[in-house]
Amino acid sequence: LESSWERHTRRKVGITRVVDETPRGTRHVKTFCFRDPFPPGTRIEPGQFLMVWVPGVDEIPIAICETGPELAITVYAMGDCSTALCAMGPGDRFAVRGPLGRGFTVPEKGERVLMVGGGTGTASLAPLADEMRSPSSIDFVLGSRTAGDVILRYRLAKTTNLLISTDDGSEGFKGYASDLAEKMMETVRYGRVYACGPEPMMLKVVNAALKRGLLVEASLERYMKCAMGICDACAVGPKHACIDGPVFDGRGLASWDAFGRFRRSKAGVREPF
Amino acid sequence: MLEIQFSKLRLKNPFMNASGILGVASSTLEEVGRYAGAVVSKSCGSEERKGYANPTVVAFEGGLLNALGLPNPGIEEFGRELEQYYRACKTPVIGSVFGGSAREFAALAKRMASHGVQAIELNLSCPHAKGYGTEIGADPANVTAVSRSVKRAVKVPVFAKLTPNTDDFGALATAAKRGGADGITAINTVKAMRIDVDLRRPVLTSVYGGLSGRAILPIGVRCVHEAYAATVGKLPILGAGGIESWRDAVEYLLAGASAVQLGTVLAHSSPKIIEEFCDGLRTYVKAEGFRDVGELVGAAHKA
Repeated sequence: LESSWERHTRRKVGITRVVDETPRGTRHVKTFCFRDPFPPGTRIEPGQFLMVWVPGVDEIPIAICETGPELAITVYAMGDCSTALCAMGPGDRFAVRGPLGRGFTVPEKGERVLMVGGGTGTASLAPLADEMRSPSSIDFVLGSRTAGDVILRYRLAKTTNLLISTDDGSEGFKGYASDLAEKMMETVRYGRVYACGPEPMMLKVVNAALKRGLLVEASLERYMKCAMGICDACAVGPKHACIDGPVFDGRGLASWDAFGRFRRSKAGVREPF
Repeated sequence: MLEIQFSKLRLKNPFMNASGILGVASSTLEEVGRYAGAVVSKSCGSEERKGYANPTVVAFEGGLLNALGLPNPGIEEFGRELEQYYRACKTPVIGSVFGGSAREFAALAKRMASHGVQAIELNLSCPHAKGYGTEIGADPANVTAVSRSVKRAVKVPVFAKLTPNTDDFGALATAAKRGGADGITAINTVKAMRIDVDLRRPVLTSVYGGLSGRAILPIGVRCVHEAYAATVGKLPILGAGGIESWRDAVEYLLAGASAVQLGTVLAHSSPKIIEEFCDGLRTYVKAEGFRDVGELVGAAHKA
């Protein structure tokens, strides 16, 4: 109980560095670095997220994409709050609470894994690859619309065996990341599969993995308000993405009608993907 | 031993969720229904409503402050969630509604009743939405008028959820009874605020919000005690505010509540905690020599 409210204490942070991830892309994606504001000893699991408050605009969940003395978040300018964030530069301030939610299960040493990142979803898988420190055992399928939208490529090229797919075929495999992922599953015996990206893509990856009896986890994106499991904004089946997720085991996901099909609007209305 | 009759509702135990805690999605309502004596819906209005922009909650050691601003999918859309709920769960539903006038309340209650709910809860007490809740429900005359008009519109029992943000809580309870309400819920959140010292601005977008959790337990107990005294134990009371253990629930029962609602505690635990509360309550009832939980209701008034 005590630690629960501490996790929800908003802490002011100042931006130290901004990286434009897509200078030649079709969408604006930026990475923001700031000093880790949490009490010493706070462990951050790969896949956990922060509630990021831009005063006067909104507070939204964003995955932590880098840990260490400095934390980083990768933001795609999509709504009010992410667009306001993307307009910020070094020295600008916002507040965060966290680290929140359940992250990815770190695999056993030597286990061969497949990671499938779609668009900005890639950012929440990057810390898992960091934690594993075993590039040769990770095949990373990174899906984007087009070559200019590929994010975090240099970092992932160091920490994983990187395979790029683009919808328009401008780089790597032409087609969806989920198609390339399924091809990989056909040729390599993986111990585990991880996915983060657009939900219809994750639905395909989860189904493909379950069909082959593989352990699979996927990280869901939902609008959140309380981020403590009571307001129901991020309800998925009997669970909540904010406290029981955002990372869920594929077997649970496959049994809930919401996964890959709908999320809820700010008013709680079901919105199909 | 834990079964209780609350107005016309037969409850398998005296625990339920408080409105606004879960209860938007049929799937989470079902999860509460597996353990609780009844489930309470999110408060619904005539139209879909987004609520305030975040931040809408502030957590601190004493409890939780929220100003969600009554987000809800609208009474029609919510009917579809209820339809799914009833396919999976038989636990009675108390449908919460909020309106801006007695007429709107009555129309909403009628619509909610047509979705099949077993009772209606009137949100006369949300402390942070313009034109709704406390702005109406702090005046006893309005509580009477709304209760009366809703009672005329529906056959199911009607419970008025009252605000503690008043100088005379007993008068609100009496007003609900006068309007024909079958029971009351005491209490909704207490109007409050927090300021972020580093950013030097109110945390909540709506500035003021409603305080729940540990900090308000003594306020809730006092309000239930006052309401029970003011209505000489003739009006069934749903106690709510800061309950985090079965002992807290017993305190509410002794003050005069016949059943209790859980809110903030569900931010720290899953609805399964109700099982633990039931075990504790059962042991207490037995150990103290009572036959059933009903004998505890209002017992502190006789002392």
